[in-house]
Amino acid sequence: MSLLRSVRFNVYLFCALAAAAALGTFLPQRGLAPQQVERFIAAHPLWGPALDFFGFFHLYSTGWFMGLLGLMAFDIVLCKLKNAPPDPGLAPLPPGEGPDSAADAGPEALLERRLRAGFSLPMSQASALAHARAVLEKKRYHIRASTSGAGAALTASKHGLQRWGSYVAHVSLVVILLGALCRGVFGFEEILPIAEGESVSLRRRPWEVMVDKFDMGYYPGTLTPRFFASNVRVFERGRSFATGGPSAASSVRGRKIAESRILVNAPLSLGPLGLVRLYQASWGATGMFRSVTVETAAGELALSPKQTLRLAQGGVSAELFYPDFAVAEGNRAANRSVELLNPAVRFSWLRADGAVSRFWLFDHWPRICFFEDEGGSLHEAEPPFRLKAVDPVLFSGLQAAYDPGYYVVVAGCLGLLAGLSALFYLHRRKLWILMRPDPGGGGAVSVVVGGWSSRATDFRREFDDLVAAVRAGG
Amino acid sequence: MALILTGLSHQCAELELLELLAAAQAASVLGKLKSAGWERVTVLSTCNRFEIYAEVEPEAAARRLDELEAFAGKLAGVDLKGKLYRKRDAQAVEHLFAVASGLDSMVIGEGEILGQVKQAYEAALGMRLTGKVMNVLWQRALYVGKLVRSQTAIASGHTSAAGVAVELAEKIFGDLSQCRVLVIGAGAMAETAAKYFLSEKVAQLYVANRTFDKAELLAARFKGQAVRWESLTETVAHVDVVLSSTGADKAVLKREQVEIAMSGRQGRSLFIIDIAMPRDVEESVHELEHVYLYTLKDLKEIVDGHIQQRRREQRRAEALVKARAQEFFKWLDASRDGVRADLKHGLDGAGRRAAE
Amino acid sequence: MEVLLIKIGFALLSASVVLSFAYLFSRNENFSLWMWYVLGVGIAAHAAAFAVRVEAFWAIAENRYYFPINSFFGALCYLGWAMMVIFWLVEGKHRLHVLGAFVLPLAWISIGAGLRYADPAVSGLVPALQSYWINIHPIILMTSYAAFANAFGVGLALLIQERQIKSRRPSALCYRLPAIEELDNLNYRIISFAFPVLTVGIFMGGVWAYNAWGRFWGWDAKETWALVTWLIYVVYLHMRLFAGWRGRKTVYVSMAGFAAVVFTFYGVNFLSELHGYLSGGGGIR
Repeated sequence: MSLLRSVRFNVYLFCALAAAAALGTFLPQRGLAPQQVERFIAAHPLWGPALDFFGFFHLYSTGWFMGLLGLMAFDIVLCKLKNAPPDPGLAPLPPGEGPDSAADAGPEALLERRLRAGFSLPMSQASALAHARAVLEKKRYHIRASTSGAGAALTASKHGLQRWGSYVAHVSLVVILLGALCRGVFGFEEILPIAEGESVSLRRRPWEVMVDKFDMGYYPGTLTPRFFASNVRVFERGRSFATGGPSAASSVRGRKIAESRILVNAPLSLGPLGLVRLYQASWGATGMFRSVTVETAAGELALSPKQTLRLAQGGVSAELFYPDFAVAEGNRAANRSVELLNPAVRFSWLRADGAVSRFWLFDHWPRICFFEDEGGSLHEAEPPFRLKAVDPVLFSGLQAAYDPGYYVVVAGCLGLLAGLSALFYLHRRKLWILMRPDPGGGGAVSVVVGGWSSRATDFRREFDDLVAAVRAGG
Repeated sequence: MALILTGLSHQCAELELLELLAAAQAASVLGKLKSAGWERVTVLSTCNRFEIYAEVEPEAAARRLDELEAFAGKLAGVDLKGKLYRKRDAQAVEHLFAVASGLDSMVIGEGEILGQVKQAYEAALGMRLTGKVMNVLWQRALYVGKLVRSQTAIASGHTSAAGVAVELAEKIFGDLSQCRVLVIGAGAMAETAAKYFLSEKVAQLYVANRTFDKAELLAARFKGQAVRWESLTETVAHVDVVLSSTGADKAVLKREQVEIAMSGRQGRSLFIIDIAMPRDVEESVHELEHVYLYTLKDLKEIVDGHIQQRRREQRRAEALVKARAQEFFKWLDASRDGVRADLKHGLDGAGRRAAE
Repeated sequence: MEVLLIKIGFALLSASVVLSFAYLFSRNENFSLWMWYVLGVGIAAHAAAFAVRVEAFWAIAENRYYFPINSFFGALCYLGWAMMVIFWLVEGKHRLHVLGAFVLPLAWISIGAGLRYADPAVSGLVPALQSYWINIHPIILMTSYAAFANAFGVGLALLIQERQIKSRRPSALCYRLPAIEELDNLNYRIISFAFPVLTVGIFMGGVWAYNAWGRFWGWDAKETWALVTWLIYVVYLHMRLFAGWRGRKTVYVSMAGFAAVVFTFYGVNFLSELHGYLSGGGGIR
């Protein structure tokens, strides 16, 4: 038990956590890039599967990583349980050097401190006490004074709250981890790619999300997205619904729960406490299109997917749309992603003699055209006409997330910040003043002052100034 | 108007003569000179030097120098014929400037001589034994002394082991006023060492000695606290600087003791100065973390290094002195010819010093 | 115009670096004074450059009214500027101008790298960044990074000074540098100031992520490495406060912490797709 409480062990624990977390950033993780993981394992047949077995590809949710976090929480509880609050837990100072009440120990002990002064004031004990009190109160010290037969004792302290900093910070850390646990156990995340005009049911909640409209825009002349947003309506799921997963639309809808426009930094809150939130996470092209616009000798013409355009050379129809066209291995056409980075449309051309040829035209590259033969190989040729624009069907990448522990974590973070601020930004200091009537008599009082500060070197000047101020009363 | 100078310094072979001369107080020497009829004269008398500067008529210079030599002989009670060095005019000026700059001192660049030069001048001034030329000369000497020290490194780096030790302590702890010092041993060396550290106003001084009474005696002298020999290790844990100079044959502070002491110190540094011969502290103590053990040999090496550095600066300082001396002498020449000229101060001539 | 002002500021900073080294190796107080004033003017020049950049940034409607910190250039310039300001305040208060030679080169590297390798063009914010959080989270974090950079410089000086005195043959440099305890204390003070700021920054990042991406903490590379940095400084603080260690070992840990800071700021951009400066707007030339 004492091993778990020792600073050394906990330091090693922090290092282990840090190392494990760092390792997770170098190995591909399933949660973020599942294809990369598979590629990695394929590329390293020797230790790829072994790493997988020990969970290195979903490191942050493996048992042993959570175990480390749990152990840290357990250690914190152990350390703080042993000592009563406000226990700062700091390394013990040599005897006589700490902030424990030195006034009780007497003037000799005070004179042993690094910050100390001894002098005599030509006033009575009562007035000296009052004067010292006034000086310290002006500097906003919190004062406790007492008079006994032996003399007068005065303890002045400031920023005492600093004692609590460490305790509060550590307890808050446990709270944060508890909040994270809540999310791990009760929370969920669902990815909902919904094409415009379609709707999708949530699995973990009896709701159906419909995207009425999705718009997005780029910054002019660039491929940097400027905004993307969805107009959404959420319904309670109706009695009968088609099985078949999230993409199946239900036939009967319940009442409408919410309607809103969702943007990237503006999610929609649903459910009690607004803890289930619908986010605009991403977007993409479904691969379907509503129409393409071509520019021929006859002028601009729009084509819908099933439509055939009669031209002099024959009949042309648009049959396939790739939002992010690339030439893959083997000189074949491939689609890299769902983003509209290189929109390309494949046309099918039925010639007068009955032959069918296929060719690709590109939205961003009007001068390029690839003809695709039976085997799928591409060869470049002159574009028969120009592809002016494509109107793709986009899907809105929504995400539903439920994090019941969020407010717990936030509370923990605020507590952590309060604790850390108290611990590091406050400057706890103490002054003890002991007075006795001068043995030599004559109405003078001998004064011994001792000081302690959590920031020893910074307190020197203030201590000297305070002593001088008290001394000047004479 | 001629300037003459005669005297004896530590650089001469016969130091007993210097002792005899130095025994005389400058004020009484001046008094004697005044009653002997001298009108423009100054005496510079320190434990390492005895010199008389005078302003005389150029034709009588040689004769006056002989008179001064005889006078000095009477003071010392021995015949000093031929034993004193003599300089005049430009050489005398250069010599005085060099002396004020510390270039002629035992420890080159030392600062005490500047104060002594000032005292000598003020004593003569007080007895109205200076004239216009002497005033300017001596004030100028003080100025050149300060200039050389600030513009060259002639005065940089402590040249005493104790000074070096205090400086090192400052480089470890920063503010010595919160440090506690322990002196181990109660002999003469311990006392000298204690004096140095106490002059820096440390937080507390402790004295430990095998014989408790001796420790108490020394502690009482410096308002410190005597500690019992048995609690040596505890005290080492409690203090920041340890000065050890017992006469013991074997080590007084062993590695295990220091290890025990360090374990309770929260990583605070410990500076141990071992000036005892043979060594009081085991050498292996230096290997401990946060412990800095310096022996007398180390301190002396540092002092030697500083002196070497000062020697390297000597050339520059001498050049500076020569230049200023020439500057002064040109002024002297000009004023002798009755031309009103002003001595310039500073490199850019800013700030002029009117004669008188 | 803005780049011109930054170049002027950079030239002034370079002059301060040279002056700080001159001050370190000579004893002429004038060097220290000049370094101080030149640095002050450099800070002002950078602040002016920032104002110009803000004006250009807000010309794009989506960028109102956010800080132009979405690109490497903006971030590096702010980082260097913050390092200079913190140095000016902290070492000024403690009268430790001699540490300029240890801290200012880091600021120089930061802004120099920005001028040399980063694209100064002002770009539009991607939707994820269009939030008032961009005025809070990156600034707070980078301020803590700048403070940690200061601490790194102080730690370096401490290592050198400690080696000097331990060698028993201290060179002239030893007498120029501040005392060991002073440096150790300053190192601790800077880190203890910066640590809560780092914590706030990470916390703000989590809240922003909750509002933008649906989760407070997702273990992506940047978040994770910020936590790694936090943990290393936690180790430092535990060693110093709870175990009472001082000196070399704690300095090594604090330097490891700074290495983590550098990796968090720069290295993770090669790892993370979601979080990095290399993804989506504001890149490297």
